[in-house]
Amino acid sequence: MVVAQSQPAATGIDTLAHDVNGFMEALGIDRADVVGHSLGSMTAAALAGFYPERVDRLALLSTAVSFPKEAIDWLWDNVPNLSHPLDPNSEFMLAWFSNPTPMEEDFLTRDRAESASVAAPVWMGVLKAFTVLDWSLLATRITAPTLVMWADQDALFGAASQSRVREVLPAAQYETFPGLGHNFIWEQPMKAAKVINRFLAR
Amino acid sequence: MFKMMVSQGLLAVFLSFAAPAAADTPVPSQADWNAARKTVTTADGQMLSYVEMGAADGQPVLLLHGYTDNSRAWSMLAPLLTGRRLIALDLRGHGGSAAPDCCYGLDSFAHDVNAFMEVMHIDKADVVGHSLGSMTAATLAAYYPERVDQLVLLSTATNVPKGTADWLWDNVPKLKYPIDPNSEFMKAWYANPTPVNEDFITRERGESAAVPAQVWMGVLRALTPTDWSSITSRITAPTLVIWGDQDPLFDAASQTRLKELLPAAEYKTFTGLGHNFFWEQPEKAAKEINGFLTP
Repeated sequence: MVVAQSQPAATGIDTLAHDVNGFMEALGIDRADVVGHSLGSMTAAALAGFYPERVDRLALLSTAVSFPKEAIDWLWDNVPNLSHPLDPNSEFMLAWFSNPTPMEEDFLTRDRAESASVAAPVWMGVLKAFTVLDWSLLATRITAPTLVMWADQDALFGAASQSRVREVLPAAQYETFPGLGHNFIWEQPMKAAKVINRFLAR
Repeated sequence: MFKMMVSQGLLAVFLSFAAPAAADTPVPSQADWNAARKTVTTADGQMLSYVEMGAADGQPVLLLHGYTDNSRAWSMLAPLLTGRRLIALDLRGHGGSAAPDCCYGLDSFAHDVNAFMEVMHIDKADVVGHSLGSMTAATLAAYYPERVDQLVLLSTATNVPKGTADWLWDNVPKLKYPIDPNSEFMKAWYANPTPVNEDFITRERGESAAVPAQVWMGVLRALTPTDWSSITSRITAPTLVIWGDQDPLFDAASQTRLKELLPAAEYKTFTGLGHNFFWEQPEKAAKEINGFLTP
């Protein structure tokens, strides 16, 4: 007898972008600049590609067109085996939130705890969606001026992954942060803000 | 000796009354297809319609149609699929199923099929999918392996080829509602290299034209960034892949890719037939499927 599991049915970037579109509608925001990090960057790209009227300028931080095999394999090795409620100080959670350089401890502790409280169906639903994601065809539909920011110690999205982004978004501006990781905006917020402010300035 | 013959005779008579054979459910005619639909609502509130046919106590086979099609897509093949309980599902947004505002990705479709099987008390089934339905079937086999016995993928690919995606993006966002089933786009969408039953295809195309905008666009948006090649290694169900070599949507390169990803599957190509080869030659398709599905 199969036990039905309660999982959010739809966790792909098309769904997340649909939510953002609806959110903007609900808040009465016609258009906005959109800055996305990691999954948020893929969602932002989908918003720009599918709802171009919503997006002025687009900043994609630590993005990738598809998940590199090593990253997705590591996630599949770990995420299905997690026992909930998660311990924010478990080996996996510490690895998930590890960074090459130090950062504000108060922020990191709180963020990691909140990540640990994300429900199992969301961990799994997003993982399953990542596994079948390749948004290279979507990239050709993005017309918004785009900034792509990446740090070269990104443990999830390495140099090969970044080369692929450059192939599908040839017209974007690129900024690379040497020595920083996937969460470079947490490691060096002022450096990141300087670049983003310059890009968004009118 | 005589006593034994009598008791055997009595036994035979007794048995024939003890267990009446379950009746076959006939395949509805084109005219009766819609009236034959039944509905269920899944645990998370999605209403799904379906048509049930064939041997009521046979092994269940789920039939999953393609993008903007509906369960009627199986109407010509179903009478030829022998000895099984056939359940042709209308995917969300299609046929008689509810069409919510969101969401129309393979994750939602596979989730619905799993939930449908739950509410129908079907633990496991053979699953036959066409096009979008084949991608759904593959996703089900990969992420809900306990649900799938044997897998049949008709006109499938692990992603939508660029040429096809471009053509759809050139046309689908420009559709005006209500869609004219005899418009240039709709005729192209339902074109086939060899003749297809006129009554069937006129009705199917008309029903496709009635599919609402959120579904036309929702599927297109969801499929555009989808590539399920990474989950092919999770598929353990014995698999049959059938393709028509005149398929204008999924090219030869897509099939070469598939063979690399699913090396253990059986492959059949129909020369001269198109994306909807089982409408063009239902007998040929049935022969392959019947031969594959173990009794």
